[in-house]
This record gives sequence, C-alpha cells and structure tokens, in this order.
Amino acid sequence: PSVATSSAASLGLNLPLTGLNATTGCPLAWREKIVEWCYQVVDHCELGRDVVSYAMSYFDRIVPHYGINDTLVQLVAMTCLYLAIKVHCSKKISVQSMVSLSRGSFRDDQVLKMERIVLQGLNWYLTPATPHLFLEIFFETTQDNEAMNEIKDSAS
Amino acid sequence: MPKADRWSSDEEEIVLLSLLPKPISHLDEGTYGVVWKARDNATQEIVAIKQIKFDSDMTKEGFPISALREIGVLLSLSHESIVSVREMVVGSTPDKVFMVMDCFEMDLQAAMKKGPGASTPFAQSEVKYMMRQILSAMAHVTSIARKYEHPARNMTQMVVTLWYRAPELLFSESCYGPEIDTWSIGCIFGELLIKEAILKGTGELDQIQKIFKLLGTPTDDEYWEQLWSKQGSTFKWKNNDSDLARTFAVNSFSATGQSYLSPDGFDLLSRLLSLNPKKRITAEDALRHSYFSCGVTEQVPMFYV
Repeated sequence: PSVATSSAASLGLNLPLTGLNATTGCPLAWREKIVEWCYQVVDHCELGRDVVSYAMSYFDRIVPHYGINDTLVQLVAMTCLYLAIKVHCSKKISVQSMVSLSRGSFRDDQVLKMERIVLQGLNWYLTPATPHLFLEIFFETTQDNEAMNEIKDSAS
Repeated sequence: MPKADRWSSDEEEIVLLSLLPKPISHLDEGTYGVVWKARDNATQEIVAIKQIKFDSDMTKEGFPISALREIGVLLSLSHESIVSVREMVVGSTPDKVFMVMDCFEMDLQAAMKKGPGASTPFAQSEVKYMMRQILSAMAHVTSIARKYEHPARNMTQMVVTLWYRAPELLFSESCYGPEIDTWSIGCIFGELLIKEAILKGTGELDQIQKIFKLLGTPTDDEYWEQLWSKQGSTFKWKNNDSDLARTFAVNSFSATGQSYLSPDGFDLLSRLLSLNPKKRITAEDALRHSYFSCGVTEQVPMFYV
C-alpha cells in the first residue's frame, strides 16, 4: 500500500484512497467495465482481441498489490493495455492515442510513469500463460476450428 | 528490488553467448545494449549485466518494445543452451535498467576464432554437438514463443543480421514464422564448417545475389512465384544453379580447411537452407535428422574443456 500511495503521489494524483480491500483488489463490476473498455479500444484499433487477455493478466497481478482508487484503476488498466499491445501486437499504438481514448483523463507522462510501476510490479514477466492462450493451443491441438474462432473473439 | 551496487565490475566489456554470432555491422551494434562482466558481491558469482539501451523514443513511447519483448521471452524460457535472465535491476534514474544474466565465457563467434586454432576446422563430432545445442534451443524457443510467430514479429524485418537473414525477408515478406530462424541456423551450420560466414552480403541486394549464387535461383517454385507476383515484381534474376554441393565437399579428406561433412550432414544443411520457407526443415525435425542419429557421435568442442 505504501508503494501505491507514493506512486499515486509521484503521478500527481493525490487522490484519497477509497478504502478498497487490498487483497481483493478491484470490484468485479469495475473489472467488467475495464474489460469492456479494452475491447472497445482493441476493436477500434483493429487489433486481435486476445491482447486483452494479456492486459487483464497484468491488471489482475498488479491490482491486489496496491490499494487502488477508481481513478488510479483506470490509469493502471490503460497502462496494462498499452503494455500488452506493445509486447503482443505488431501494430503500434502511441501513448497519445491511448491517452485520447481515455478522453483526456490522464497525461502521457502519467501513463509512462505507471508503465514503470507496472513493469516492476510484474517483475517484468510479460508473457504469462493466460487461460485464453491455453484454450487457443488446446483447440488448435484438437483442430476444433469453430471453437478456435469463437475464442478469438472472446475471453478475459 | 536489489540495489545496483550489489555488483562490482571492472568494466571489461564482454559478449554473451547468443543464438547468433555477435552482430557484425555497425548498424546492428546499436540495437544491443552494452554488456558488462560483473561480480555479484553477495554470492561472488560472475554475471553478465546488460544495460538496456534507450533511444530518443524512450521519452515519447515509454519502455522500448524490443527490450520488453526480449525480456519477456528470455524470462519465460528455460533451456540449458539459452542464456537466462536472473533478474531485472532498476537504477536510480529511469534510463538505468539492467538485465542480470548468466555469464558465458564466449559467444559462438569468439569460439570459432579460439577453437583448436583459427585455421583448423572443427571435427565433425564437434560441429554436431554445437548444431544439436543450437537446434534444441531453437526448438524450445519455437514451442514456447509460439505466440510470437506471426504478426507480432513482422515489424522485426531489420532485426536479423543481414548475413543470416532469410531470402523471403529480403523480399519484404511480412508474414513469416520460425522458418526465418532455421535459415539463420543453416547459415551458422555452414559457418561452423568453414569457420567463416557463408553469405557475406554488403547490402540487401548483394545479399540476395549471394544467396541465389550459392543456392540457385528459385525457378518453378510456387512460393517464390506467388511472392513475386504479389509484389508485382518485374525484376528478372539471373538463372543460377545451386553451388552448394561444390561449396561444401562431402566425404572429403582434402585439406580445404573445411570440417568433414557426411552426406547426412550435407542433406541437413541443404534442408535448412531451403529457399522455399514452406519446405525448410523445422528445428524439431532437424533434431530427428539422420545426421544426429547416424555416423560419428557428438563430442564437446575442444574450447569448452
């Protein structure tokens, strides 16, 4: 929690923490909204939806470590998606685009500072085995093309 | 997060054992960070510390993509022939990020120079040993990093050092997979045999010409016809026959300075250097090739003992 507080401060987001339970992280309703938002961004940028599974893996690993308020959660989510796109997609999406997709809630430098925090928080493990990846390999092995196409459009 | 002063270094620059020999041209040198040999003051172990290179993009687009991918892949790999990242260390300023890695005595290129004497070829048994290491490492990478196979890598056209770059990449093929790596391994195989890079192009066009001179121009090849027609290429390449058999002598005892090469070995070499990437042998199949199961048994190269 002390890390989160200092991070928030260093980001210029001196917002009071709303007393979220640090072990459960983010409420499910928020998480759902975040996933929806990620899909919107990914569809808008014409990227594969599977990148969202990586973004959410980062997100779920980061959030429980820090008590995070609703503003910071958005920044963390956006940064996780930005990072996942960088690592897993061939198309480049600039910080600026990400920032404008958040309707100006954050500045570039806040995303970039959060990127460092997320990287360290993840211990730099950026290629997790996601359930999505497992299913993809599984259906590839069973050669179930129908299921294959279905998971390409969903998950997380 | 450990402090950077945990390691001491006499600032002697070293190179890491990597799948490819050390980058050759100056252009590529810039894509690699500087690597230092250092002692871990806690355990007295010798490690290699690589400083991530930040370019001017860094301030604009955050942590460099190539470094992120390299870190991500290396952290998820675990293979005796692949250098492992022990940990990441962050220094006092944002541009100070280090990868702490296992330290190897030398990379392949240095090994080729040292060996039993620069002009003495490796024994076939030693070449086999090194080829198995390289191929099994590659097979591991292919199985783990399968997600990086396709589009994720198509921005990396410039990443493979020119001399080891597969022909389809030189024709800007944008959709490719692990075949580009097996091509590179074919180039290394040839290099181990003659202790010299086999395709030393001075530029992309020259590289293509050298490839077609060694392996023949692809004629009546479905893949190449498709690629060229897709690109609307009207350029006519001079028809060459393959020179591979003349370049690499099979069962030869002559003092050409080439390692002894069995017919099996030659067959593997030509399969790795297949111009058609769809017909190029995979690392996994290469390991099952009769080159490894028949003939002389493998032997640890002299420079290792």
